[in-house]
Amino acid sequence: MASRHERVGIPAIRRRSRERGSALIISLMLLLVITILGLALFDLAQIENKSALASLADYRAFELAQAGIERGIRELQNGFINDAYGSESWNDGVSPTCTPACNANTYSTLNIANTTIPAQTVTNFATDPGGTYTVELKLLTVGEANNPVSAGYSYPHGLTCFSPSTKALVDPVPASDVCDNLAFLRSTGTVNGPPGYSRSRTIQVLVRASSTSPFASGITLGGGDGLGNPQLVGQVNFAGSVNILGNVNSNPAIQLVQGSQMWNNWAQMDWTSLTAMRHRQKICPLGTDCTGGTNLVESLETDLRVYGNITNNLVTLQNGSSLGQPGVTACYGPGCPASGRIGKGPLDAIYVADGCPLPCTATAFNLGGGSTLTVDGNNITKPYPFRFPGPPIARTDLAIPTFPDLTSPVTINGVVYPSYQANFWPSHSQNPAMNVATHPNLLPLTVGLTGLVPSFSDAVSWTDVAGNPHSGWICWSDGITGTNTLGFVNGDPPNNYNCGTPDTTLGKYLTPANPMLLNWNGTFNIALPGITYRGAAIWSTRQITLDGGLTAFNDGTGASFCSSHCFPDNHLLVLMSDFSIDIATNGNLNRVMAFIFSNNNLVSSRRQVNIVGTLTAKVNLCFNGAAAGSCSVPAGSGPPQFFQANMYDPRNLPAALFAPSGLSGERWRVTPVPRFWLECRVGPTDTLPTTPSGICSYQ
Amino acid sequence: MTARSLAGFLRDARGFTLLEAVVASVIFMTIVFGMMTLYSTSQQAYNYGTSQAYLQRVGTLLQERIQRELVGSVALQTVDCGPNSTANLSVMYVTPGAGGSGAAGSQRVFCLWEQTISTPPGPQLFRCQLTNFAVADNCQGGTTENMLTLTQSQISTQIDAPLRVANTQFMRVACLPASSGSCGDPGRQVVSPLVDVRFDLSDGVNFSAQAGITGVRFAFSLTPRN
Repeated sequence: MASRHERVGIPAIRRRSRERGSALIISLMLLLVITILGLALFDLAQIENKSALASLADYRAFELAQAGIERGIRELQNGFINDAYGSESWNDGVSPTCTPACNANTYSTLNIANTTIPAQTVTNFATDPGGTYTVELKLLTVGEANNPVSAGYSYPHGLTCFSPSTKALVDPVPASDVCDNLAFLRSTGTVNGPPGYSRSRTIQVLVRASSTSPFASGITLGGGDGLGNPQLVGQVNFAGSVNILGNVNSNPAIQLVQGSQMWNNWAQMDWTSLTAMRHRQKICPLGTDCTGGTNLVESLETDLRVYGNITNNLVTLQNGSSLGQPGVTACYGPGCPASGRIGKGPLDAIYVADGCPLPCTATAFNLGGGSTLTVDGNNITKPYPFRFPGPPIARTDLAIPTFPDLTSPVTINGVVYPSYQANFWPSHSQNPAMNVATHPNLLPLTVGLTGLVPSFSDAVSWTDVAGNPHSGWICWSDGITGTNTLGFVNGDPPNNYNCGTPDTTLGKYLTPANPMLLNWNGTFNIALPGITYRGAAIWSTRQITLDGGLTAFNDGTGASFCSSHCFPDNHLLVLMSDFSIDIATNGNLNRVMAFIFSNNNLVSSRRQVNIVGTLTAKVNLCFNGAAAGSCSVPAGSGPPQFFQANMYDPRNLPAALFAPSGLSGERWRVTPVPRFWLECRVGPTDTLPTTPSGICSYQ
Repeated sequence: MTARSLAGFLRDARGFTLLEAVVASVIFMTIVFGMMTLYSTSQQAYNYGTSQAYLQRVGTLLQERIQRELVGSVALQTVDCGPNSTANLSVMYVTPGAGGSGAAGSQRVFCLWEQTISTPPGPQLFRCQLTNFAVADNCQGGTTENMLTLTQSQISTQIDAPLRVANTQFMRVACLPASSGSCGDPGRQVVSPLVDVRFDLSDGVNFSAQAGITGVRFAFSLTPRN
């Protein structure tokens, strides 16, 4: 039989062969194409996955770095408040500690535990690799803090700080001193992801510890009457910070009229008061070139803080009133122009609205008659920091913002007192409370102490914060034969003091470190021509009327500055009252130098007077011509003036003054300084510099 | 094989019947069509994938750049600025300066906004420098920068479809979500400017995963630290 090839011939064989081969080749080609496409898609998916992982690692590293900053701030706050009262410092080698030791030259690693976040499974098929953060700290010298530009730094602006010299009342402060309350924190967050996905990011901030006490600020106001009436009302000029706790009904919280002024300096202070106080540290203001030490100014670091409903009108200015002024002041004080002082014009910050560009007239501000606002840095207002609730003036232990009044719980010298007024004060101040029956010598206080009142001495006793009993004398030297001086004198041996012979020798009278604690169940009236006081006392009293001046003894002359006897560091009177306080109601006064606190009602001031110190009221501050709510002050002859004057070092504030909240830890708050938050520009091959410079500089 | 059957076979080998030809053509066309469909679908899938990955990368870069600038800003407001006059389409912010001489310590004010462009390339994301931190302040000359100038993908270049944005939103969070009460309740007011940022990024190639979203949506919240 013939074969098939023989029957069909070669062409048929070739055709059939081609048919089989084409199918195979086509199939293979299709398979190849599909495989290539599949591989391409798989590759794309891998690329996207890598991109997602890289972004995730980047974001995690950032959050870890920020977590390190928050941890560092907490550690620094703990370190500060765990130190003994009055000795708080980050430069004590105790808390915090660093490796190598914390210093002002270079960054050191903060010694803290538990800085690793372990890996964990977050879904059925994904794992959070966790990570670590490292926190570094660098302290600052006073010169570096005050005057960064001339010191060769690129920091945004200068700041004041305190140091061992301020604690010891050395004036001026050596620039080489290391600040106890100012430090750079730098945190590096690192994510150890899968191979190729490790990532580090670094954040740097400047942090500052500041006192939260109303006695360390300027004007402080509580929650008002709750009816929406303004709290700071009338015609007044004031220099220094204003804190208004307010409430959501405030509308407005501030109502200033007749060209009222808010200053950031002491330029308008009378020379007698000015030379009674130590200098402020000179700083380089924002936006100024201070190379070579030029252009340095004195600043009160004035802030305006108002808590309230930011959709309400919170600040009303009328008749050309101004908060802050552009530029700097003219030279003031003795020695001008060669060695005089120049003050900063703009306020440091306004924390009122929601960050709107001032004047924010749509909501928070109502500016009439050409009134103006001048604030550092493009005139920006920010929200009230630590809103709801929190220091500087709110008690944190209550659910709603509450003024830290005399009934607040406090911790003093390690002892918890449920109420300052009910528990601490009776057991430490003169007990039983003084009155005209038990202390008839003090009768003139109820009708008006004047220089015509004959000299007297009155024995009192009290207990200091450590529980040690003290006895002493309230000495009055009349204005006819004596010096018209009220003295607070320690009667403990060996300081038995003859009140009849006024003596300004150091140690002959009490200092703010151990003030006389007086509980006076009567009114406290000073009549013309006013008095001088010597020593230190915290005086709780009923209604206060100051129709005569109140001058702290000092060795300034008006032409030269004080050295050993200054207000308020050496001579201080703190007046606390559950009732209203009236200042210069009937006539003009030269000055009132005191820390004044009204726990219940209002403080009013009508005529010309320089109030120097701190001014605090739970409800209202009513000034010349105020007519709103419970404020009704007839127009007087001119605006009263207030000048913030705090302790040269806030750590010297008497421990017997109550804290702003129930927790002693709230006596200090550590916060980042605005404009100093920075992410270091670290590239893949960069190493971090040892100071805030290079890739960690402010540019 | 007989001569007759061979003759018959040869007669068959001379051609196909019409039916055979039609069937063969249909099968061929079906295979070709299937291959073309497979090719075009694969090509489209490749384009989608490439575009999606590209948008993801570019969008992430944009998001991180916006975050870095706004988080470090000294102040921030979601107000009209530059040429924008549409609510929530722009944000104005101030970068911290290094101090020293110069306006406010070399701080700079910027505006970031979505510019509506009806003709190609479509809406773009711009940034410019302002003179003042003030609502509706105009851009300084020569400072306007298109944030989308990162080169468009090869695919979108081929079909002339550059990057564009849509549904951009810069919205300040005034208060926490309130089931009761209002923003006037201080407990609900946020401490600092918390801002929600959103933008959709597309290049004309990618598909939209969801109705109302044009391309790939990027959304995040941030708070200025300064």
